[in-house]
Amino acid sequence: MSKLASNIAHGIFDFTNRSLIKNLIIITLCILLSFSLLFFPYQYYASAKSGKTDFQVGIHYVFEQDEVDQIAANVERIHDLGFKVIRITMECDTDPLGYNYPTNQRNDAFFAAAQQYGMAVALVIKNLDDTAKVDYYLNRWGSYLSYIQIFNEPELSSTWSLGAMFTDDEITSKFDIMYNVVQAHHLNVQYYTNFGISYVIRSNVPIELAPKLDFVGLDIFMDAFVVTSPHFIQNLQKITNRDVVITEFGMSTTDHAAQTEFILKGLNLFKNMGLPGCWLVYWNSAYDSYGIRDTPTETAVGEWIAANCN
Amino acid sequence: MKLLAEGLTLSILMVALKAWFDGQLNGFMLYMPPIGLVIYAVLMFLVEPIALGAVNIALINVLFGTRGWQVNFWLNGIFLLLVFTTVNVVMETAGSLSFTYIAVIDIVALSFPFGCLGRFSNGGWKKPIN
Repeated sequence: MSKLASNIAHGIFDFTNRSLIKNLIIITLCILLSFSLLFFPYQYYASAKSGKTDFQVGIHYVFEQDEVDQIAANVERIHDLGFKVIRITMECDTDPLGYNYPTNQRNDAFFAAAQQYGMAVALVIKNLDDTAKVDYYLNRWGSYLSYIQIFNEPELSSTWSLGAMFTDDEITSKFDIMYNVVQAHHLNVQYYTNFGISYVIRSNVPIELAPKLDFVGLDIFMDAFVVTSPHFIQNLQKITNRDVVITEFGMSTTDHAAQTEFILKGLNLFKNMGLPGCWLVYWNSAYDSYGIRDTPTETAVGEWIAANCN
Repeated sequence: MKLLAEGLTLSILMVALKAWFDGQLNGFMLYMPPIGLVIYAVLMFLVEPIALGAVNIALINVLFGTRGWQVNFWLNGIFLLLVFTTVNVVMETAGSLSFTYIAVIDIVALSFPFGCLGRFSNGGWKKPIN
């Protein structure tokens, strides 16, 4: 019996000891290992079970697309669903005669409601916003803010539009200008900048901006990048030495079952990874299908927050 | 004993290279972007596997008295690097371990398995090569 086993073992050894066979085995194992390396972190975190945590779910509210009298009710609805943060884009009218122009009235209505319901507000200052507008906005509504996002995915800047940033030194020098303008207001806020997955080919941008930020944002869209996101998140944490918050996460589709599945999959993943939070895009969106308001996704996300977050 | 010696050498080498690459990551990223990133990728995915493969076959030839090789350096090095990286990623993800602990486990506990894999993944010939 032992001789038979020995013969089999020697047979296998002799067979695999041929150069061609050994090369094929190594190539096959390399392919299998590559897939394991790529998908293991996602599979692990997606299937992990953890109880309620302080995971912070937020959402981007495009209130400039709503009427003034709709805003308070929407903020209340967002609050009741369990969202902790509302992210907004800086929109205002700086005309000295336009103190009560509709855009400004919307801001007044929004911040009054956010205050009433104790919502943290994250303000997005876009890449090409001018400093006078930022000064006006922060003077008037800055005290209501909890987070300020300086620039949106700056690593994606191209020269295709007039005045756009392109070179790395333009990004960092314009960031410094805007950062100094914002910081001069001495607000009790946390600063962050968000990046897309493409940060990997301009990694120097997050590295150079990070020292002035309290955390960095990562925007994730599409299934492929959800599945591979643990690698990107860990890399961004490592190179910036900052916590990573998912600052844009959503899916533009009229198939609400697919949208719900995608969003819940991501929320589970990011929570199990121990990230501080994930902010969805969008609550409402007039020109695409990202918005979850009045869809089954709204209810599903609310139920998920109730079951998973403190 | 020979397999342990081979595994220990490979483990120490791979841990040292990983520590060096991790430590130099930001430096490379900030060096004349994106040239630094390209250099980093070439070093990590081309130079490192070739070096690992060459060290492995040299160890096999010295320890086991063989000549030549069955698998090319680069492919052999990529295989060893993939095994090492996959094991480390599993420990980092599932065990939430820091690199220091992982490095100790790699060297102390996994040297022998790495040695077996290193020996299996390449080999020389007992007779002179024509």
